Amino acid sequence: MKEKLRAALEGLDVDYADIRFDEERKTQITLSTGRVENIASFSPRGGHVRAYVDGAKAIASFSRIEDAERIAEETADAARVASAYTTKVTKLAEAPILKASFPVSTLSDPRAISLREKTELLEHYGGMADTATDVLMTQFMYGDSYAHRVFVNTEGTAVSYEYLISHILGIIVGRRGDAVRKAYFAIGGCADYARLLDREELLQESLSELDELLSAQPAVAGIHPVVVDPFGAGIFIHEAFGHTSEADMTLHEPVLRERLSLGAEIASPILNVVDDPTIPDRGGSYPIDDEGVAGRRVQLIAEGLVAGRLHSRETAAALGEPVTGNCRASDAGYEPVIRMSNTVIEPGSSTLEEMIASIDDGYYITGGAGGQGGVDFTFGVRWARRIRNGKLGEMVSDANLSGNLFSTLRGISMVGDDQRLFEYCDCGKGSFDGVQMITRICAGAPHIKIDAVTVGGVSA
Amino acid sequence: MMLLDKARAAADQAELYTLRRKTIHVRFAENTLDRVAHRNTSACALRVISHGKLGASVAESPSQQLLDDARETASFGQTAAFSFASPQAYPDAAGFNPDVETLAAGDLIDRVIDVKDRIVRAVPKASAHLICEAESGERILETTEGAQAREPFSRVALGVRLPFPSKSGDGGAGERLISTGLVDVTEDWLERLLEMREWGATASVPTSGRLPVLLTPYVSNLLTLTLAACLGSESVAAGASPFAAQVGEQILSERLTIREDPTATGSPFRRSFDDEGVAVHPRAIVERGILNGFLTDLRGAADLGQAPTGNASRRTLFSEKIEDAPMPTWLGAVIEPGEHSWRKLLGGMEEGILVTRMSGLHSSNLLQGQYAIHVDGFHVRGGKPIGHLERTMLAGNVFEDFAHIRAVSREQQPTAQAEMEVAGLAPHILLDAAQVTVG
Repeated sequence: MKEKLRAALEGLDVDYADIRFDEERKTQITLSTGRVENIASFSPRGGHVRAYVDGAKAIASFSRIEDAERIAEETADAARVASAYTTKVTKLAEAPILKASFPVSTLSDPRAISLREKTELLEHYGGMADTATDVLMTQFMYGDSYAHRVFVNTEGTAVSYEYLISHILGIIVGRRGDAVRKAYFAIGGCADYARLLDREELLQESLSELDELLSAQPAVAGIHPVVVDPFGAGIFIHEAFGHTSEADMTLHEPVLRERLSLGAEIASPILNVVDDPTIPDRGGSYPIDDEGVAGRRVQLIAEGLVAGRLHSRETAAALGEPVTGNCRASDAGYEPVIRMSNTVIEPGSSTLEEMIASIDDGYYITGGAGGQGGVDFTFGVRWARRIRNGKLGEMVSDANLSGNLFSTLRGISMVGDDQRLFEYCDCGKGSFDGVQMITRICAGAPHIKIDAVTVGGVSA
Repeated sequence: MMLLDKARAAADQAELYTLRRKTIHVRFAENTLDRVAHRNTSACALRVISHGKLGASVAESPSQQLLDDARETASFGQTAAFSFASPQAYPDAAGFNPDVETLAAGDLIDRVIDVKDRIVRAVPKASAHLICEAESGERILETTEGAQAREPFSRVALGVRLPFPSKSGDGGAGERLISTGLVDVTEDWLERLLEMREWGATASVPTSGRLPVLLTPYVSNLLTLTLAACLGSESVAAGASPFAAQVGEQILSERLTIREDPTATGSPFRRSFDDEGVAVHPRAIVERGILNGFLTDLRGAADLGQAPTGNASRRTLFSEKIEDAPMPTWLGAVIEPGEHSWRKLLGGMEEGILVTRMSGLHSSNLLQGQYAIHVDGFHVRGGKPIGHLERTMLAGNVFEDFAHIRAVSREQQPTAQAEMEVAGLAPHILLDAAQVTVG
């Protein structure tokens, strides 16, 4: 494959070009209330070319390896056309030339497990949920994905690398009277199939949450102090700060870039945030990105100050900062864009009990129902619990959070000592060929306390 | 031997869906060409019913492996209570303009430069982000039961965002034109965009509380996403939908009529058949607030004991891939217009908000209509926008809020949610009141 890709780039009249080809194998099983709704195998293949001529850039996605040479030539031509109109010069930051292979290895490989075994595991978890009290419908999804990618550029880098990930995601819908509520069950998110086994205890926790949620009243809208659980805090740091740390999100936003300049005070000194693909066995763990750059740990916030950003070679050159190895494509044929890896708030010194005791009137919030980010962010809450006079009270539903990145970061007044990382995560980011959903990410945090945040809900 | 012929010999029934797409996309950032992108891709999705059970596989082209994979998965699949589509007549959707196929990157660049120059002539300090995309392709669906559906499609989109001078986030005045053919950037359209930029010169937020809310067509269209969760045959058959037993009853304001019509003139994603090869079936789903029926795919129709309505879609929430199994949803939601101009609706608001964009809807409890979302837009006082919103959240229950509609505008616009094919036509909608919370 490397030779075919090298041949496609050979002789191109460009300043720089690269080409990537992906071959994937995926399995997906969806069980709806005890019935196998969908079971499918996927074998997508596809490639992506980038060409730079006189500071202008053109890219192309294609499906067939046989087309690689023609597409590479057409993309170089498109870059030449673009160069006639370009008034700014796009450059790439220096990156080491790599010639290496990065095979995946795991003790319990999902590719070695039969479809029958995977289906039976899903039926086991689904059956547990289906027979719980007041459960109306369930959807349990098993997915695994193996990718073999080859990347070659005109500088001499030629690498092959693999990804392997498996997960189970369950959505459990309950109904009691007029109340319809959901609970979630998400496990896996790494190469190790064994992590999907023997997780009945976690599922039982979700079912117990649903049981209480079905009798819960909706939250009352307003601005409150909150304690956010590690999942919610992980989503918050991913959605609110992580996305704005992706340099392509701020490159053309001068005011925002200024507010996020390196060294700027953005949060209280107790907050430290890193993005680290070298943490082992997590969704966002990887050795190399889709520009052939090795992934590395990046300190994003150090003691409340902006300490780093996530880069592609292009944004690193534009901002004069070092490459970080965060330019990744979610799937065969997509362009690589800047993505987080494992993004985490580092542990602090407070205990959960201290945080709850410090609030007279607020909420304990659990994340895990999605979110959407940027300077103004929002995220879905699985369930919440009132805090009154320093004590946890009744559960409430529909308490989504919304806020502004800067005021919320400054409002983090306590950071817990109990950091946890998600298992299954996914995230979408827009690119020319559609929103790229990626499951190869991870977020995590300890409990945090935010002094004031907007809680959505019903009128008082 | 063609794949369907092989499938006929190896399985009870088979269905092959092929999607070919060719796209050119140009992007300008801060008034400058940023990059040119092309896509030339294909994908095939095969479903088989083998020994009465359903299996599926997806790859970039038809192959023996595609068939072997589908047959293997069928060993563990659901018992199919339906047959794949049979021969049928398809309406003329006219969703293809051959001129789009001939466009080159230079044509799109010239078009964008023209728009950018007109903006900069009007507002020399404006720093515009612009995209223009032209896509053409073909959808083909064939079944061993004799269905033969094939249609080309095309679309052109042009989007402009002008950051507010005072805003530090990703907000700004944004508009998007989308059509099956070449888009026409009129002076009126540009003036409205520049007017919105003016409205956002400063920030202004209302006091939290229940306020009148005017939704732009793009945001109004999101109502249909919420309704899809409740009107799809799966949630209806399971009894999870609050509307499962409410056909013939008032579920929304009588000012609202919502038709499913993927063939509607002006709609940007017109099509004549759904992703299972069933002919689309234009009809009113909600008529003057009264529920007329549901959205079904083949399986859901069998579950409900009804005829399929041609509403199967393979798209995922955020992309146009065809990996997901068909699910029932809108293929062309048309919210009928009202009597008054949207400017009159705006002018009649004493204190309220105009919502131009929302985020986080997918995190809400859509099955029950509960929503809590971040919104962008403008604070309206005395009938005029007085500044762009910040830190503003809208929350409540869609079905309760849309039961009390003050007015619907007479202007309709083609709408589409990002890359999703949930598209159609929508007007401005003025809600009597919704819970607005400002942080």
